[in-house]
Amino acid sequence: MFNKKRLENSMIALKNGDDSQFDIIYEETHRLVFYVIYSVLKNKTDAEDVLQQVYMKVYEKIHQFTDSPKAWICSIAKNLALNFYQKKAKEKVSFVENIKDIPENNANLDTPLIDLASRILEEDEFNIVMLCVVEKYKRREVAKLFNLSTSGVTWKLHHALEKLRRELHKENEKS
Amino acid sequence: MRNLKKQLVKESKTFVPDLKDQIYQSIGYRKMRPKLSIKRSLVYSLMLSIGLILSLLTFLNLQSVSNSYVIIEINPMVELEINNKDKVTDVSSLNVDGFFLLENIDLIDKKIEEALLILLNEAEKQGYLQTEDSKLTVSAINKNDLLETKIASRIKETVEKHRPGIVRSHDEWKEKAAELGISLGKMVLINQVMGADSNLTIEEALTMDHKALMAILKENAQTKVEKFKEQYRKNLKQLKNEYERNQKVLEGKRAIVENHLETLKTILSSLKKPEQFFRLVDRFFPEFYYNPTEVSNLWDLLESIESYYEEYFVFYDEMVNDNLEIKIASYRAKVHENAKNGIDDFNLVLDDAFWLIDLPNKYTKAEKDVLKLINRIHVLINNNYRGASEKISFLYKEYLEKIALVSEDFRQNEFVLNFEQVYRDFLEESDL
Repeated sequence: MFNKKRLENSMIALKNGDDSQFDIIYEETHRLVFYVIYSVLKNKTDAEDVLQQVYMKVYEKIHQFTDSPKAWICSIAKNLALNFYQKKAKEKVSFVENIKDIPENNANLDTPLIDLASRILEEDEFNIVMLCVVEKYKRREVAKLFNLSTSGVTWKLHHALEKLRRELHKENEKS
Repeated sequence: MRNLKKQLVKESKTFVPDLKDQIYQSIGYRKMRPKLSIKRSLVYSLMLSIGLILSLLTFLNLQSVSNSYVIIEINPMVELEINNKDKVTDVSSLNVDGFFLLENIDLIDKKIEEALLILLNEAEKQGYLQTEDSKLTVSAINKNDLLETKIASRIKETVEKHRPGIVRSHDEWKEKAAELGISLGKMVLINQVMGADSNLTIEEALTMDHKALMAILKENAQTKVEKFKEQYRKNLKQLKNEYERNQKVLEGKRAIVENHLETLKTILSSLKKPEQFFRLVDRFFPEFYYNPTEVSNLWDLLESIESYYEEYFVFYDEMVNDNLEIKIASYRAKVHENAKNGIDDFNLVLDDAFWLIDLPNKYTKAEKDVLKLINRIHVLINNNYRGASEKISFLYKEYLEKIALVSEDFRQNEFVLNFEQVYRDFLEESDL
């Protein structure tokens, strides 16, 4: 759970040149940021790269911060993840034209359920599940972050968990 | 369903990586240093105490000998305090313009004549007293009438020697001063104080000595000047913070590139397939463009990556410095110009102009020039002030010359297109 005021104060202090606040900002946000990136890229190594870029960008652009720290950082994360994704897609095309590509194995063996969730759920469904179920965010907080209504979050959460349960059931039957 | 949720929570513990150290390294952030040892802190406290005592002694000494005030009013209004050795012991600006006049000159400990000449030269340098009929007023105030007259005539003589006929006399107050039985200097001061504080009556003012009157004048001016000074310094600090942040980002990027190059060098000899190497190059150096089919030697490829980034960092450094320079110059120009024209806008607009685009090639000379010009014009547009338009159109002409020399790809870059839109918007607004 996050302390909204504390984070906001740290962002303002960083904006005013107090670098020591970066620690708090990172601690308060990195899990959320990672989910947002991962929901787009669905690849842990790539998500780690983008996670680094996000905090570099936060540091560089802190003077532009005005309010809603989490939403602001999330929008940076989403943009960078999408840029990364597009860039990689382009590179892949040109790479395949020249050299036979080696298929990448993106599966995360240690976290099979999260891996499954990221594969079968939509981006916002995945984020909602991770934030509401794992990080214990309130639904209205998640709604605010992703510009949804609270009932929309409730519905999507229910729908996503159901989807996940069905898929898990299917996989268990197969094995 | 409960098991499913439990499982998600369990997995999430290893799922989210902690990249704190790498991120801190890349932005150049260091944790706070450990506290000083007792020994060192004792030495520092002792040094600090000695420093404080010395400055207190100096301060007391200056206060005890300070005995005259000189006020100079051009448009900038400043006050000098001089001691019985005719040396300047303190200077204050009595308006925002005065702050700029004093900003880059040091008058402390100078003989009053020398200090006046420095002030006049600085005022001329800043665009004041440019016309033939330019005037300024000088007044001296001392509790001793005789001494006051002596100082007044000396300063008038000094200024007149520099620019004959420039001093506007206070003749209109002579009669009134005689009528009230006070010196001309005090009369002029009372008039200035009453102008600054409309609640003060002449009867009240007459009961005050020159120090008390000067204190009211300064206090009134300071409310405005201090407010401005605080904002001005805060904004300059913000610019310097931004500069330091950019420098740290640069250092961080440099450290990452160096690390990646080291990694590649270490594994190069043991690599079996060049594809693996290309994969790493793509991942580590996304800005670097090359064609894997044209690579015959991987060591050569490494060398070209190294030289690409060397050049990239030199340019980045240039841009960071240029960015600070133009922003400070532009901000100072804006507030100075506004102060001159009585406009109360001293805000600083930070902008997003400083941005290095990831070009798939090394920047050419013309491309670098274009990026610098975009940065400069952007800053001027954002901090628009009277007089900025001329500079903007001058720089834009230069921009048009340089943009003709760059590739079509560069011209079509989002950054360049955005800038052109910003410029068009600026022109439209200017027309309005």
